[in-house]
Amino acid sequence: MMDSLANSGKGGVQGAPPDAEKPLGAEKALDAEKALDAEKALDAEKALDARLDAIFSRGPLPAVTSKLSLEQRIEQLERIALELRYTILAVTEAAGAGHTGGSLSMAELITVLYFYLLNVDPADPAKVDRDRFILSKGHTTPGYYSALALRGYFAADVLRTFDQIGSPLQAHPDMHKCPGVDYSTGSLGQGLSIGIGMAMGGAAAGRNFRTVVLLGDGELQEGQVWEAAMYAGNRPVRRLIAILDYNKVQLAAATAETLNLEPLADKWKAFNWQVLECQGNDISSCLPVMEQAFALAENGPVIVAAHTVKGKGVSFMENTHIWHGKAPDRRELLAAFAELDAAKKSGRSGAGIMVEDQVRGIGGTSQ
Amino acid sequence: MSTANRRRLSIGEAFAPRLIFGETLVELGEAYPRLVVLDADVGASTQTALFRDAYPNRFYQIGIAEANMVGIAAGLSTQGWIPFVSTFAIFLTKRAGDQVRNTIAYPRANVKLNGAYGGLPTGRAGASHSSIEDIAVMRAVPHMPVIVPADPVETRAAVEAVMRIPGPVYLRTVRCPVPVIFGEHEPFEFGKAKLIHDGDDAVIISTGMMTPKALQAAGKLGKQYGIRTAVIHMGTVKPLDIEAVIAASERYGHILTVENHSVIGGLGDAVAAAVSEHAPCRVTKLGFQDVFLESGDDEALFSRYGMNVDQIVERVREIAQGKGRRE
Repeated sequence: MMDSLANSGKGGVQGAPPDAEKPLGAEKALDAEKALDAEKALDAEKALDARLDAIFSRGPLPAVTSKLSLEQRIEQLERIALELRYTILAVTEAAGAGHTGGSLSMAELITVLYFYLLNVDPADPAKVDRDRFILSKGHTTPGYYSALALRGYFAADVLRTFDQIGSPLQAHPDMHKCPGVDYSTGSLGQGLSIGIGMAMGGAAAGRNFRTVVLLGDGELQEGQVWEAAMYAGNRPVRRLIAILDYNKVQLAAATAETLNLEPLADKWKAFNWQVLECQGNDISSCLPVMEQAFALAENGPVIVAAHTVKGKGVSFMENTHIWHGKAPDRRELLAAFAELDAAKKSGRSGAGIMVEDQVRGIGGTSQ
Repeated sequence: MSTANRRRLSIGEAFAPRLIFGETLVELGEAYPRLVVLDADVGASTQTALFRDAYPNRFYQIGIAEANMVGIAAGLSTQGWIPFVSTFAIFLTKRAGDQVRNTIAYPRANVKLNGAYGGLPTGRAGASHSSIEDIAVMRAVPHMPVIVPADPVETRAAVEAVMRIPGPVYLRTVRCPVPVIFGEHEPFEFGKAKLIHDGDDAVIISTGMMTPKALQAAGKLGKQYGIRTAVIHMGTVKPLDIEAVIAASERYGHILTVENHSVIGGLGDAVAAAVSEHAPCRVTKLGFQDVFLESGDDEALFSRYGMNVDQIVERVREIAQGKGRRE
């Protein structure tokens, strides 16, 4: 599909000198080939449009219930994370803008939160005792909004307005415009402080909700994060959970090349935080660890360092800063979808290598 | 609200607005059970320590971490608390300027901001602590009201008013004693200029602690020089009372603005912008001229920068005599 699109309009035959003398018959054959390619390309375009229409008109997915076995929960959450990846790519392609790499890296983390761990109700987004979520890495709204739409906070077709003038889906989340957003973010390094205030303010008001802050790794270079870390560990602030999308890549380079965060766990431990680690693109790893974090947060703040891959699920987007703030074009979207399709066929979540088939037990999402 | 034991504020007596701010917070603590106060280790200076002692459970000592303090206040506001964040104006508006803009103003958090130690009087701390551009910075933040009370009476009334204004508000208070110029029950009217001394010959538009100085200057101008000078106090710098500015422009044709702030972006620029758009006239701005302030005694420093009472008198005389005009 990708090849036919890529070659359409280029004459189909590679390497043929444009001005070479050709017999009449060969000319006709070339025309026929051209026409065939053009037809294929048109079909591919139509097929892609149909897929995008399906993505932007789909209904919400139900949350995963704790009544299921661990294996079933993992399988269902993987399936949702895969849908999330299709949606993220569709959203950024439609807008021609958006932070694709960091949205893909957090797909499993936000899936586990919104479809399993968080006590939230899309029908009542202002429910007083709901768990709170702050996207401190506010630029990865394609991941956030896609999860909120899939969970049913708003219709999927609203995603088509992402980053457009007048849209509730601003480039960075706006709590007054987008249903389900608990706080407006965008300027990096500020989410943890807001989360501390929410957690302490909720406790002081006699509420028992948990506050979850999703941090990016690059933003840990901001001093305010460490002001907040020192404060939360010192008090200690309870029912506060930080999830670090540790994808090792920031805007212009690898995090380690820019300003290395390591030894990271030691830093948080020294600030009196409980530190857990997991493979953040592997539901079978991050689900139990995040669940454990929610339990430990009763005693004091917890951070889960979730090791992830930037651009996870699309080979040409993985482990590179190139896709930090870039959207795929139509051709790249087709190629990315093809990779997700292959992952889906093989029963994987799009996170590929992380998932052991035997762990998933009931056969994954294979068709 | 229990006001039976409140400090009497008699005209002519001087009190530090920071003290009045702290005492008023304690009074409001009773009227507003959701009022909480956040401090970054300067409560003993800004007088929020009074609130800490009265309501220890509603006082958050954040440590010397202004950015974190502003973020925590934002989070607290989501749970129905009404945080009053108080620290030195210079750090609140510059060090935590991004936090105030993006985490308080943009989300319209119901967080009140007290920029203590506004302008020159810092207790001999000098340039690093002299907040001479906070009004400019806060004015530029969308939807952020800026209130700069003149005296102890207006400070008390303004703190009460801030609690009634929904959403974020920037209140600027000062450290040094300021004489009482208003009767004890003078109300604070948000967004309204106040003519506190009338006169036909010249006009001063002032704000904050410079208003008592301007009033003194007007008295001298009348007595010593027969120059009848009007003083219009702008307790609210944003939103500016544009009607009052237009009226002053049309009546006098030349306005002197006086403020304990840089001439860049403060009251003077707000007035100049208003007249240039609606009723052009000359505006002479008295304030700090694109400089970092030195350390020293407050009044000696005001003189150093051309802003004592006699220097205000001289500027008005020049204007009244038509001096300094480009023909």
